[in-house]
Amino acid sequence: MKLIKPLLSLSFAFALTMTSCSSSDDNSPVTPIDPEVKQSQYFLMTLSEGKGPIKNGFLKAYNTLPKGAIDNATGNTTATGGMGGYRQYGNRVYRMFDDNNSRVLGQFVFDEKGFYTTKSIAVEPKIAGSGNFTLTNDYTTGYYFEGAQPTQIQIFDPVGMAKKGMLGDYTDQINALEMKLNLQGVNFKAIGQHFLAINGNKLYADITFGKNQGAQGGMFDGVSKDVHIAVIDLTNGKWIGDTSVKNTGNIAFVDENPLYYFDENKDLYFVCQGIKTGGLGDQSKIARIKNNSNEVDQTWELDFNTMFSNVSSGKFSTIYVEKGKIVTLVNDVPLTNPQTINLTPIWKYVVIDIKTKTVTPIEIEGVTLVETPAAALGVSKIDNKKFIRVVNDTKLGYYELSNDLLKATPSIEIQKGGKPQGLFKVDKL
Amino acid sequence: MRALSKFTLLMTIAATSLGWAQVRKSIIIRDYNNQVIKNAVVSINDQQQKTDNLGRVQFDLKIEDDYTLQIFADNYRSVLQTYATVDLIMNSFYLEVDNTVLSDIIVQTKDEQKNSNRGIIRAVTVDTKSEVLRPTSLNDMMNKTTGVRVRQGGGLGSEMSINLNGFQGNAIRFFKDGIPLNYLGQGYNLSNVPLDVLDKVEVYKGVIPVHLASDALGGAVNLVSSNVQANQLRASVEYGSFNTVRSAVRGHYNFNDHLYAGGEVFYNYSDNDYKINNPDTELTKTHSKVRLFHNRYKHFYANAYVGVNNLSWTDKVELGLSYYNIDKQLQNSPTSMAVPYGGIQDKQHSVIPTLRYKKQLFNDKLSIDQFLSYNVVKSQAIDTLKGRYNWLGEFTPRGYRGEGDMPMDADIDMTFFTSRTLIGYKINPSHQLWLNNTYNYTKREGNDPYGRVIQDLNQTVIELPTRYKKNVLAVGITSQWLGTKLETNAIMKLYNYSSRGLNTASNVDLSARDIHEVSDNALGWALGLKYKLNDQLNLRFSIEDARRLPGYTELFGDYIFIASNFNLKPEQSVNLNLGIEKEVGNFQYSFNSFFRHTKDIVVLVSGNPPLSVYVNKEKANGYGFEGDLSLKVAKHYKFYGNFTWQSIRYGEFKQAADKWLKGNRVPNIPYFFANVGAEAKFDNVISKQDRLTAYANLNFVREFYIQPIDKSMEPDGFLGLFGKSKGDVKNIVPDQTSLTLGTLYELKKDGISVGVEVRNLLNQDLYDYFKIQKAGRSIYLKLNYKLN
Repeated sequence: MKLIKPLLSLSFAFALTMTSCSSSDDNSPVTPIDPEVKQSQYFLMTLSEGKGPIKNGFLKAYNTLPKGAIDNATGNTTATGGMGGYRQYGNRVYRMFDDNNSRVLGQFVFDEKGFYTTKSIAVEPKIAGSGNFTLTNDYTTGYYFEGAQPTQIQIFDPVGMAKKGMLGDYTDQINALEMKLNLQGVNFKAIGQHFLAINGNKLYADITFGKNQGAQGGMFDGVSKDVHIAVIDLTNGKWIGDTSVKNTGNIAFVDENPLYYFDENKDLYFVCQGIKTGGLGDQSKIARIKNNSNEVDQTWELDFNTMFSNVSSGKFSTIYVEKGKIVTLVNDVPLTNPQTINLTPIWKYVVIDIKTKTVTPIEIEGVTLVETPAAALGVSKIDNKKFIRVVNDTKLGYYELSNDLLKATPSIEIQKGGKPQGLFKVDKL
Repeated sequence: MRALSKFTLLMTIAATSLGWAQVRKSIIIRDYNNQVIKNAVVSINDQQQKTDNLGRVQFDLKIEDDYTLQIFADNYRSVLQTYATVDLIMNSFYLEVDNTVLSDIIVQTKDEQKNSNRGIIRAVTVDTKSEVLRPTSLNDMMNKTTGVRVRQGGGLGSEMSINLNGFQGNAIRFFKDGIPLNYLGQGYNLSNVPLDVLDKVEVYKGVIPVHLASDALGGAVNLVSSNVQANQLRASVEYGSFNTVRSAVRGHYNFNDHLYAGGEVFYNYSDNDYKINNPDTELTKTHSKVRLFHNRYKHFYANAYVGVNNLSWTDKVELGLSYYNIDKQLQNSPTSMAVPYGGIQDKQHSVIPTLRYKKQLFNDKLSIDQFLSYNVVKSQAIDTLKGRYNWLGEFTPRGYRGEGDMPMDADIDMTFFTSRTLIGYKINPSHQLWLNNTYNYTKREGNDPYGRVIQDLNQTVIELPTRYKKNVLAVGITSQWLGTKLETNAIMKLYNYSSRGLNTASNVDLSARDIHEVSDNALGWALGLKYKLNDQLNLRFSIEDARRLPGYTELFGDYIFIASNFNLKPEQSVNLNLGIEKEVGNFQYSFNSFFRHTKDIVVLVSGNPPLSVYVNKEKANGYGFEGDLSLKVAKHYKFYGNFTWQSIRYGEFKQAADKWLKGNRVPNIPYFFANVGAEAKFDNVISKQDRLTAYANLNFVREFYIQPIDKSMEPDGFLGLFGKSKGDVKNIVPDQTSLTLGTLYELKKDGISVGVEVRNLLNQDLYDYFKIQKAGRSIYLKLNYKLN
């Protein structure tokens, strides 16, 4: 009898257990598929907590191009991390941060309802720019920067998302250039960390001579006064040569916004952010490599300090090129605090004529200054329409640009979901 | 000023109130050999006291319908008597010797628990003594408590924070015997203190009493040390899964009626190498589960004290000297498991002298309690590995040092000075005035050959002295009205802090412009009421307008994974609590509700990986309720359950991007959690005076979100308790169920006991708030020995 009581007691506990088991934790979306439906899907990406580096947000699918007041946080939406921005090549959309906000080289794989899974290649998570990539013009082969081997360029399959080897190890060429330039205090060398662009069989990759090591390596710490770019032959991986943009210090930041654009002539325009640490600009430039050239066009550049001397130091912050005009953002007050420059509306959209370098502010209905898009694109082009991202204390969404790029009118007003980080279209396969 | 006016009004009302009829009653407790019994606990109705060295207690009793007297003392049979008038209460009692020591302690604790709960400001007492013999962790005990959720990253010694009424993190302040715990660094906290050295844990939700003057916002946790004043030696050792060893020894010795000494020593060790679901999606294809490989925790703590009491110039002076040493491996950052680390370590040690002085003057009308401590916590933050690990524990070399954000090999000195002055003045038997001033000074300074350099100062971040000063002055009055039916506690607080240091959150070069000097001061007030509807039913209400100053850990960061942020603003909150509790025979229940309106909540968020950073969130409103019931069946069976449901949601935002957040849940806060449990005790099972206890506890936490989601996407059903969130919410912590089973066998006469406990018996996936994975099924064995 003495032993029966304790056994009864334990039995009670087990009974308690059995009546209280948790249910399944499977949160994956239901994905009914109608194979007959073939239509485009439009996606709007928003950042739910628009402060600091938190990349949690929403990605929602729409059957038509969204217009008017939009709720991006409910319905066919995914709430997750890695919603800072995207890169699109053809019908495929890629990301550089995963659902857990870790660095990755990933591809969104959308289902019929617009929910997604991610196919990805793991990259060194610590080094900024790990996973920076580009695709060949036919989108069949990709090249990326892997922080674990910073002086190499890796090859990947952009469809299956698998690593395919190495295009080349350019340590010798980078070291030779370092010696030639007689640089002092270089602690981190890399190629393609910030800038990888392909035109035909040529790959353009920036060369980093950074002062910092580890996570801070290559972060606005260039010890060379110029930005150096390698030109590589994609047919054999050979180093064709190197070229430079003079007196600008650092090239683009390291996230989904590549900060370069090819115009209709396949001329490559790209942003250099300037010499100051913390991304504060100063001597920021927009430079050009003409189609099929191996050299930066030394006859043409946009120099921020010359053109916007009244708000120097500052920088160019996004780029879109069309019909001889560049759409970019410039700061309206001098940049002083690295921790606030991306989160306060101190930027204005301008159009710059490539030939005359005439600057014309874009007339945005009811808006003067906006926040810089950072990892997002400043200009998104869908269905032959162009949209600029508008975020300030009272406005939130996308404004449609006029054909002459000089005016913008409200198109998408985001009411729920946070700051706009991406607007793109994917055709169902 | 409005707060000041209200407070002045309350003080005026209190000060002009009339005294109430009192009768003084002295009692002496002896044994049958006519020897006085020291430290016997004597309670008469709501009052409780311990006998002094002469076996005496003295009560000021109000006129009541009847008086229930209880006497408890180690090694003696307890006494329970009821008297109709004060005059009938005897002046001396004789106790009969009884060796059932352990059960007595539990009875005594139960009485103390009632006493705490009967205060004006209700403290939920976590009765550590009742479970001291079990291989139970303090965290697990806390998690069984109504309205309390302890978040721990996983494993013994890992970072923890607590959630009370929707407040969390540093909004909840920790105390040891009424003193803010900061001076003990990481050496003494919920994650490493064994139950053996505690008498109880008082959990205050909402308003906290004036004797714990601090800038707590949502509540406070007071770890109350064992108060046994008799000669005693206790020891325990526990061994369990993941090579976990926990041992504790505590002793107290009285040299004579005035001089005493004692100490406590405890040691914690665990490899914490439990299995988790592989966080690396690539490696998951071949290894779905991986074992943690760099998660060891080693901790030693010792405290010795010597004191004198009952002298003309002091009631008590106690000198204490503590030492602790922690050696901790860090497997991952506190907010992400994306990257495993194999070389990052955090070590610290400190020698901590303390002084406490207590004296009552002018016929006990005036009481003084002063605490002082000064110490330097010497710590090392190490991240020098030239390479990285994957989740299989495989190492890949790379050409630079450091696995985390930056390489480091830092020696850091954290200097702490703490002064707490508590003065009480009994205006009359019904009104007591309190003044409490707590001053904290903290300075961080160190060196690190790999540290980030502040460009224009040409010194590393850690070389720059970082300072923090905080002072909280509280004045309060406790009063009784309408006999003892209505009790009030009015408190006013003046907060002040200043700090200077460097912001390190951004991935950019640092310069002198990142040095910030901040200071702020504020006024807050609180009012607590308790109304006794009848002997079994109490009604409680409290309201406060509180401030919570940014803490030094939030401003400074931890130098490893948490970046500094000197832009933090103080949190401020208006809190209301209302509750009732009832006891009918063996059945007890309580039901409490709360409301809060908070601005500038300070929360930890993921930053530039792997860094996290504390930031202010704008406004949040919250309300919730919690219930607690327990039922004793016959003498040996006890059933209990409790639940907490809360709705903590964002308030209004000014910026267009954030406006939509209004009404959505604040992320990383569970909104429903509950416990059910049962306990059975059997005496004389194998031999005489033995006892077998079996117990079970089931803990459930409802799914919650890591990022804000729209209210319409939340699960349907009553209070959101059923179903799943709509849409595709990937940033979610799923439902969690954890079952603990245990048994304890005691040989009471010999003071020996052995306990076995199985945690997470169902081997469920358990997480902390950032989805950091916790251990699966684990088992622990504990042996206890008590001399005297």
